[in-house]
Amino acid sequence: MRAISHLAGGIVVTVAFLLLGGFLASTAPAYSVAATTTLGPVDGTSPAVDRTPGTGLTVNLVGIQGNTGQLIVLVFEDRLAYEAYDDNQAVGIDVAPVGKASSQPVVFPALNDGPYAVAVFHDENGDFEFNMRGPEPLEGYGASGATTWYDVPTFEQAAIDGGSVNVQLFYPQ
Amino acid sequence: MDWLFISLTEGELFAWEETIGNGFYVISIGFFAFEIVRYLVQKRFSWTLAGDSATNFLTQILSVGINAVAFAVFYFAALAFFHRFALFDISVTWTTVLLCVVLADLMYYWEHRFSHRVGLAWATHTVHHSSPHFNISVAYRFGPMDGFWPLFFHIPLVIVGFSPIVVLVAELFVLTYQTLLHTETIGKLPKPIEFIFNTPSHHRVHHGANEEYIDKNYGGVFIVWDRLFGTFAEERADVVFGVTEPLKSVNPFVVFFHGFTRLWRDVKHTPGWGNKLAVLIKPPGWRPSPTGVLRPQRAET
Repeated sequence: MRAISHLAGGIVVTVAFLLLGGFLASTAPAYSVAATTTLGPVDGTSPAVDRTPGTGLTVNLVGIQGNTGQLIVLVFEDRLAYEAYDDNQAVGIDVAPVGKASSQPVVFPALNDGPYAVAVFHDENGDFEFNMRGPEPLEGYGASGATTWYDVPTFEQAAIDGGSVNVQLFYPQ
Repeated sequence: MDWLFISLTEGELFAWEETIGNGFYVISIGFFAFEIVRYLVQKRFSWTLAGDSATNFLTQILSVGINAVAFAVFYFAALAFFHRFALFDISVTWTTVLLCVVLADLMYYWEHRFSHRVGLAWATHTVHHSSPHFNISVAYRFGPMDGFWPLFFHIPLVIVGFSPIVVLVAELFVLTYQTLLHTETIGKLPKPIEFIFNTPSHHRVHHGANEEYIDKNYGGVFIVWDRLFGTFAEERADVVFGVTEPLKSVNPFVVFFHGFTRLWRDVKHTPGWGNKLAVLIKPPGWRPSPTGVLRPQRAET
């Protein structure tokens, strides 16, 4: 192997390596902790995974907007914890960076019982707080069973029995 | 292999770096104790050697202290500033951290080569090379501005898109890896390892004052960069450790500042302002011609 002894050649090769490395790093997949048993981020459709009973809870987040921040998914089996969004009492928590797709599955392999209520916050500024201005949310939000922007389901309305659920993210207008 | 692609928080990554760093430190101290025993058994132990080792640890304290007080804020501010120009959007996973380590090692090669071939940078790096001994304690022999120059070579990594914390972790790993290379007790390793990685043998060559070993084997973790850029040398003749103009002192302050003391002396004795500036920029040992040259310039090979 002939060496590149000229300094200019060395710099050119180095810049090429840097750009190649950066490109490879940017295309490498990145999964959230809870999603280890899935095929990774999907693009607009539910994952084609056979969910036989006893294989956990899959939350399909749909309608994700933007590329920044993180999605905080809280799963509750207790009504009071759900109503207070008390993450200390949550049976499942996931914090996933927002990817490029508008849908993202989050899997909780151990959650086989139910009923579960799921709440999702799109923490756009990464401060782990759901930012509001008075009664007005400033960040994206969703819950199992919620069908419109103003919907804040009760535990009974949100509860699902496990398996798979789609949760729509709603954003401030 | 999914774990290679799971998102890490920067806090988790830094905790791993601390753990690995502490592990290496513990291993190094244990290894150094073994080397002391070996010196005693070989009847090569002397109080000068002990003084040299003590000075090594003292220079580490001084250097780290200077880094913390003078350079750290500037370092983090600069990295944070340049991150806004990021070319690629790079998540933090073990895979991307590994990629960053490889690229950080490439940038380390250039920073290290710069430290040997530019007078002002050599003034701090010569401290590390100035011991006539070669053992693990030498790995901790640092100079006053050792923490300064790497910044400029890591800004490109941040511009490529790696997070500043990931870049810092990668850089620290590249340094940590090298601690265990500073020993005479480990001979050549199997050929595939010697081909790809930096090893004690390659690093002995780097620390050699022998003519054929000067300015060779700049690599951190990988020796491939030296093979690629023509600065590789195989260990053949026994290595004579130290710098071309030997340093006889084990006084920690004399050692720590001797690079700048000598640079000041050389600038002072060089006539002409253009030449004085050149002494700072050109390789160590450069003198304007024609003069009664005491230390001939080493050619860039």
